[in-house]
Amino acid sequence: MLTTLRAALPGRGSGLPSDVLTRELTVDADHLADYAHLCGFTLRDELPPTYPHVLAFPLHMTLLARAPFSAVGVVHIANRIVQQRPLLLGEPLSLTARVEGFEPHRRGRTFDFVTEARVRDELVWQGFSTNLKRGGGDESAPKPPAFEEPPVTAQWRVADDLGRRYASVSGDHNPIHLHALSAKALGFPRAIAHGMWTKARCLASLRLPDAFAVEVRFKQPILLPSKVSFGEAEDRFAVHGHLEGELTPI
Amino acid sequence: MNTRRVAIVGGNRIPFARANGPYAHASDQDMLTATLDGLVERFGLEGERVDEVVAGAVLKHARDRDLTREAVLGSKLAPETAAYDIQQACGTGLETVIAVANKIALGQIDVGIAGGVDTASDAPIAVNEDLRQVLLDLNRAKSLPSRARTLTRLRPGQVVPEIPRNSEPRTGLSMGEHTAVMARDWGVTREEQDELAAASHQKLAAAYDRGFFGDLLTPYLGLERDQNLRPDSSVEKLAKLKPVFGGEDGTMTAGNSTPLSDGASAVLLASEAWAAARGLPVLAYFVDAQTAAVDHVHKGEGLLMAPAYAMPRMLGRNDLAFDDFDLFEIHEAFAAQVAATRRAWRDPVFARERLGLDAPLGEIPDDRLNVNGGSLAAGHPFAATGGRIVAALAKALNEKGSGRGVISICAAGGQGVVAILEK
Repeated sequence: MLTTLRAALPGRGSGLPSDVLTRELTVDADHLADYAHLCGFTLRDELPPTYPHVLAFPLHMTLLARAPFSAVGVVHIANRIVQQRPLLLGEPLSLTARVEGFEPHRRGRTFDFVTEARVRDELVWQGFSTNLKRGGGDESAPKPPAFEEPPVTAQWRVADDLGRRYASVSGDHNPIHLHALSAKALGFPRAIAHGMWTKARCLASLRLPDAFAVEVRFKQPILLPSKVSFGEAEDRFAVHGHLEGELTPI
Repeated sequence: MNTRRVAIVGGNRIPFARANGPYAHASDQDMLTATLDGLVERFGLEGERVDEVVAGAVLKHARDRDLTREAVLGSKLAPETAAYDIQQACGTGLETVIAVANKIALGQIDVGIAGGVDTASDAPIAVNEDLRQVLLDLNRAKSLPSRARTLTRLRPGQVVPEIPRNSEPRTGLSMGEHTAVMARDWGVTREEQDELAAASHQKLAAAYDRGFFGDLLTPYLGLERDQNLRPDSSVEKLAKLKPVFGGEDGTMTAGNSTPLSDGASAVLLASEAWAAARGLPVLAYFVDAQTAAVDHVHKGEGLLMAPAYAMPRMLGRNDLAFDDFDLFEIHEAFAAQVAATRRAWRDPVFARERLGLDAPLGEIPDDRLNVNGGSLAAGHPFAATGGRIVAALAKALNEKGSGRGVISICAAGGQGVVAILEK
């Protein structure tokens, strides 16, 4: 179910859509199984913390279609998830998604898809997906924080068909993920892994508390296929060269 | 040697599902992990190092080499918890309990979790055997010409995979076909089997209704009760089913045979001191166990008759008779297996000629048998059945306050395993 609420949000003159989109659903266990196994999660009644992002993806696409610029050249550069407790299979979920921005960036401007998942009136999960629209960069914008990559603890072989498989589970069929040829047409030497798969794969490797905030910044894309190095330390993790992450229990 | 009493502290399982039902996309590792986490939550073991987790699966993927250890690493137990797999067909679940109990009794460990899991949905399908040989030879071939020669052995028919079958390797007969022979040999009637099946459903339904499984079960993937359970099952309804084993005049139907199932179970065992230090209850004590095997290949023994031999050996060693037991848990692989085994135990000729006893073991009263339902109603994910029975029997003994219970489980390969619990 997809409905639009004409929103109370101020547009701030950005031209970004001020709609708040909503979606009510309960999770399909078979879809959850496909997602969990592709990302390395155990299939259990607690939803993977990255899963609501996939559920909200159609809302993000609708919002993007209403933006006053072409979606081409929009790059997902960061994602922050705040989870108060695990969401459970079988709970009725209310998702809302809206856009916030713009913020200045050295290579353009950024905006966030802000997604919230509620069970009845309880705010359980929030996602902040930061996207960069290239062009008109501001050199005085803040640089990303310094990050020391933790030592390598695991190596992952990322398969050639991962982009296609994650596309079919997530609904994100951006051609840069699907095939070397379509990726080449858009300026990449080969197909690249979805950023949110990479984040999910990281979280599946960590021992997560029930309540936490986890932020990642996407660096160089993972070209498919590849072998990448994962590392974790107390409060941070990384896919070396590709993703920097910080985990904060709450 | 001094041994310690072994406490059964509690258990957990996920509801059992019929194959290709709600757990169709769940792997053995998923189900075992979810089951362990349910146990962890129930007994406050999050982040704790348990001395050992022992579990197994009968149908196992090659990638699940160390299934139990991998499940532990994915669970909320401390990653420093050691684990290993064992396997004895449908005896697996009870064997894991015995393995953990023995180490506790010997003082080698203080606390352990025993478990089992099986999926008939996510079954391991292997590469065609001919193709496997070609691929292995290809890997061994050192030179380009010998690799090329090996590749010429590839044939289209080799794409047909190897699918696991529920049949005995040395007889080619399915377990149901073997049991049909037992039913005929022992004169087990259709009515007797249907009565047992109906009672299994009715007792399991009653146990659910009175909340018996409240602290034995964690819902999983939308299932809160065993999917196979039919509370309104009756002898009349079961009588309408057509025979599936033993030919047209066979007595075994889909209703009085267990369905292929998916599920997992786990049992928490500990020394009395460990349980007391944590303020945890002792539901019952694990007393003894015995395995036996029969020669179903050469000597015409019933494939699933081994418990008939294991039981008198265990009872003799403990100087116990059937009269000393308040509860009997006989795994209902097939109603005919239960009926044939009960007949063997009350048969003076079998006692004298096969068991070497002066008198048979005797009757098992209906009202003491599988009082909270059995595998016919709950379903039978092979390696998960032992843990289901141990936890439920321990709880039933605890409800009674005192008493003795005995477990009997038949297994493929002509094997059987029995055990005694007491409170």
